[in-house]
Amino acid sequence: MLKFILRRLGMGLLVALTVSLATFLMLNLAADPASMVAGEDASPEAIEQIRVQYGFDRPLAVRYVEWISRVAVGDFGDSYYWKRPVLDLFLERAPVTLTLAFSALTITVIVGLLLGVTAALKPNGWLDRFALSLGTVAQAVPNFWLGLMMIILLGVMFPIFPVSGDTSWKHFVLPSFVLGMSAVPQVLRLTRAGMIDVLGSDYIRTARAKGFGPGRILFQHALRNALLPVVSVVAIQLGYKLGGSVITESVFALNGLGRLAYESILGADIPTVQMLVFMFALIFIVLTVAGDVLNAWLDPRMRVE
Amino acid sequence: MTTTATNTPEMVGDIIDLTPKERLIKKAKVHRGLQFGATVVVIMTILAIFAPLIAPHSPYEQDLANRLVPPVWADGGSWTYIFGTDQLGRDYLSRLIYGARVSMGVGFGAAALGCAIGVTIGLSAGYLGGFADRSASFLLTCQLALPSLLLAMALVFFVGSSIPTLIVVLGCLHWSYYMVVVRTMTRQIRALEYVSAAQTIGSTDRQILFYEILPNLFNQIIVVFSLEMAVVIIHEASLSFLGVGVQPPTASWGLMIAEGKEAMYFKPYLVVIPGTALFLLVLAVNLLGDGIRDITAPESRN
Repeated sequence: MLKFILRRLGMGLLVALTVSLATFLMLNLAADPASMVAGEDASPEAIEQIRVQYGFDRPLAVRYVEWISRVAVGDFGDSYYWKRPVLDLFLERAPVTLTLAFSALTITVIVGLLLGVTAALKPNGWLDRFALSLGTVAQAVPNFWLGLMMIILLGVMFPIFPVSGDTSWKHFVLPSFVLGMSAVPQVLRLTRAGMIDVLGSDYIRTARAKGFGPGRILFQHALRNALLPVVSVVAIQLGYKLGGSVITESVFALNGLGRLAYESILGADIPTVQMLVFMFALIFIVLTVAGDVLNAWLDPRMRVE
Repeated sequence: MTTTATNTPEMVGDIIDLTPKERLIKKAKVHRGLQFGATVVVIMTILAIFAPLIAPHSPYEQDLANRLVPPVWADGGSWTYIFGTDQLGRDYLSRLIYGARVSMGVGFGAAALGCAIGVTIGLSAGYLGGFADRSASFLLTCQLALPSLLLAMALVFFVGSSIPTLIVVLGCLHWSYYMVVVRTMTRQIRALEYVSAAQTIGSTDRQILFYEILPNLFNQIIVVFSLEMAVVIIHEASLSFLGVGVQPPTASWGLMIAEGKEAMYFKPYLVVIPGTALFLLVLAVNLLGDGIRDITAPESRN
């Protein structure tokens, strides 16, 4: 088990390094950082001066090594736009996004599990067809548009919830719902498939033969096993929610990491964008490694590759 | 997406004697999702290709005297502007029709690029195995870790927003699904006897890959293609909505929603109409992909 954990950690580290290199290269090659910092109307001399001042005239490899060795000790550099350490910006904005991501994930899991279990009770029955159609529709609705529709409906026509800002828990209801809905189809289908599989197995038949009630069989016997694949998807989804926060936060004017990403992209603030892309990737890597280890702990068969 | 089982036992009975083509047609005739998806996709494709012939007005011409004319079904609407006009007095229906060009064009282009990358990597990984396979898996893990929407936003904006940039960036960030499917299938097919037979009679690796393996992957690739196209269409619209994708005055549904957002409280149609078009297209592309999977799946699956 220890060997498995170490191998997974080593792999995670290697992936993190590669991702950091890819991010750095892509963002720095996509445009000339000096002219982006200088602005559109800057003279060539001004751009050259900035190039030297910020050190953009040095080779990419040197700049990457300098960046990554600083990142390793927790220094992501200063933002060009806000003129402050980008890590401070990250820590300041993170609570809003984490609240949003976790509440969205809760909604995804509750709605997805409920619909999935209901659908699996009678495959091809009308409830099943209804749940699957709902999943198909939910998958096709663009997130930002759903957000705007919710604002028109629940914010303006029936003003139940506030539609912009992040000062009270009420502000998080609509954004969490919108962000949460996007992953419902996936959880629904996984739960449904898992439940149909498990409900047809021998031990469920035995439980029925022993005379257990349907509720107990469903929740105590079946759901537990059907949940295993859902757990690893949830870890991955948390990573996606962080990325998806860019859209939801700008629709609902939440001042979190997604908003920070949006502002720093428009402000051509490469250090901040670089840090956010890398941090989101890192969180995703940590979650998948943790998920793998958790799975291996629950199910020894997973330890063999 | 899970299959909605459509072929009943007695139907399976009488399609056994049919040729594969007849069997496909027979199954397609009873698959409502496939029919709906195909119809909408065909209509949108025609709108996109023949936009200048179909659109009743110019999508760019501003008419400040006729700003924010409501659609025909609302009070004050007229048949001149069926879907009304926007804040600059441009005909909304014409902009919608031209917007189909952007969605279909970017969706198709980026899905095709992603397909080329993913299929190449998947084929080499599955066929060569060993080190190539391990490197491809590593590449896949890295790709999955990257926040693709955020990265696409940054790259498109830094390089300079244009439709070719959107296609290249979105294409390069959406190849993983093809790779996973193609790799798994290639590994399975490679182990089959007819591939060993081809090797025995002296076929080169290239011949085996292109004439023995790739044709068998065609159905799966088409299915992934449509599902990925749906994802890319949503990403393009999201980027344009946030102002880093298609730039004005080009008509893109995402951009139209962004422009209509300011007035959406008293003119909701500005946001509802392009959003519905986007939703219908994505739904149709998804249903088409699911439908193709359902009708090409082996009989035993359902």
